Amino acid sequence: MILERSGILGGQFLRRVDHLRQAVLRSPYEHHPGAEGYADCEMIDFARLRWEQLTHTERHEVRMSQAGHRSVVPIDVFEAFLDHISVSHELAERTIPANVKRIEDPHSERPVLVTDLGTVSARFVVLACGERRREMPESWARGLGEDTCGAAHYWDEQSSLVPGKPYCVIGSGLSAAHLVMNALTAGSPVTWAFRRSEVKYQCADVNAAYFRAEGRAAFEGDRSQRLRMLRDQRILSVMFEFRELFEAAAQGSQLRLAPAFSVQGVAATDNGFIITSEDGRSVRARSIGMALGTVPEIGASLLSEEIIGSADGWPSLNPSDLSYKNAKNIFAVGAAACLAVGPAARNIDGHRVCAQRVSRRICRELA
Amino acid sequence: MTSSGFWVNPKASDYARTQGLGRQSLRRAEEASYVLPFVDADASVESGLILLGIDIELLVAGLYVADSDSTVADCFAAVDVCRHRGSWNGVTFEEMLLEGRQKYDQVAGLVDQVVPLSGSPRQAWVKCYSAVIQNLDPEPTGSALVFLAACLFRHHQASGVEVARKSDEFDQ
Repeated sequence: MILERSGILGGQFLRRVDHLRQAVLRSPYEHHPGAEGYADCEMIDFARLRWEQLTHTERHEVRMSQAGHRSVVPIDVFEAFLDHISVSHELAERTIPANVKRIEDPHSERPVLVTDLGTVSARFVVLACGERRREMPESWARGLGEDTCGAAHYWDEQSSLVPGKPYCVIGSGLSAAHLVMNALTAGSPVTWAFRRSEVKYQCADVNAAYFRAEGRAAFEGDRSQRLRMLRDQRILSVMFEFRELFEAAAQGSQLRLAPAFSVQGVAATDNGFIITSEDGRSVRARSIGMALGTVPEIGASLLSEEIIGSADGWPSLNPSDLSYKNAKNIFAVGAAACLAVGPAARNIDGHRVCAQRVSRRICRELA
Repeated sequence: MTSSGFWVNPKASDYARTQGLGRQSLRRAEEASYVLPFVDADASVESGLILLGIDIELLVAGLYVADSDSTVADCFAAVDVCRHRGSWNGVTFEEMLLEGRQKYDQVAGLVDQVVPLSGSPRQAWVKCYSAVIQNLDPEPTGSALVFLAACLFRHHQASGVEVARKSDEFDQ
């Protein structure tokens, strides 16, 4: 049984990319949600069977993948593939639109999930809650005031961009890049403010080595060492495809970069906002788009601190099966498992590794 | 053979030099370049190549779904779903396989006329596909054409697919 707030598998991800008008995945064709060991169709074969529907550029990306290079996957291909996997494995029939409020008896053999529809007990519970957006500091929120007319928005919300009017994007990751691109396309002058000294362009969001077994094996050491490796890898970056576009826009003065801009405060004005930095610079804009990164959902709203065992934002999980150290029948996969599996746990292929570890344990006990 | 009577492996480069070969020729740009397959070829080439690599049972079962109106992608999806779930639109995978095998048996005699000899799967597929169009009357179209051509291409495997007869056939 799958409990999901919206009842749509992958719905949160698809809603987010729709808001951002993100057209392609960052993950390549090789990383896909097909189940390993069940002869599932590969995503690249799924795309090749629809050759007529692919554009010239998309076909070239398929060839790149076939040649062993990094490739870019259209979101619509990914969504159709998700749907196929869902139908093949009867996932939709097992999905119930329910909001889980808390988990009771987490130490027991059958933890109980309390949802808005009632309670469910299960021998095994797997938390696959993804990531939530990082919220702005309280001081910014005070500066924005209550009556912003929705003129400041997060990356996963409806855009407040007013075409042609000045727009400021805060953040330096891929979501920020999409906000910038959308504003440029709408003809707005854009100021892009970020804390780093420059925008970091790279293909994947973590070092590709972490997608391979040797990379995961290298992610070892005590908790502080792994935390340091995670910090080094979780640096916001942008896909290379944006680089030329942004450089051209910056030369043409439609895009103004504001590097090393640590926002000190935001204040509402008569016709928008003024954003000030710690070193005294300021930016005026009609509306603001914020993409400040994400925070993994580690089960904090469902389980007690004693179960999660987290003092640094990451749960204490057994690396072999990703169960909570203090609740052996409850597991966490995806971004929440980064400290156990490595930084790629938040990516599609990392999810596959997580699923393998969890299912191995569950199958062993059910046998 | 050496004077001491032992075989030794001559250096490949020495051999190449004596044969007028050698790595020099590979340094010519046109020979060293790696060319990916043409992306604007007919879509049947791409889907055909996929069908040449799938499990033979899926391919033969696909003949049940394939017709002149459906796409290869749709047929493949139906068979894949049926294989995973056990049935598709009320039809079991075994039934699909049986019907598909019967369809294949009707055209299997064409094998000698359509199966090409070529070291390139892509070129071989194009020849096979064209030969099926020329030799089958009425000429199949749509996904039926692609699935039939793929089955004929893989006739050694397709003709070896074992199917369970329907229960009523056992009764007779």
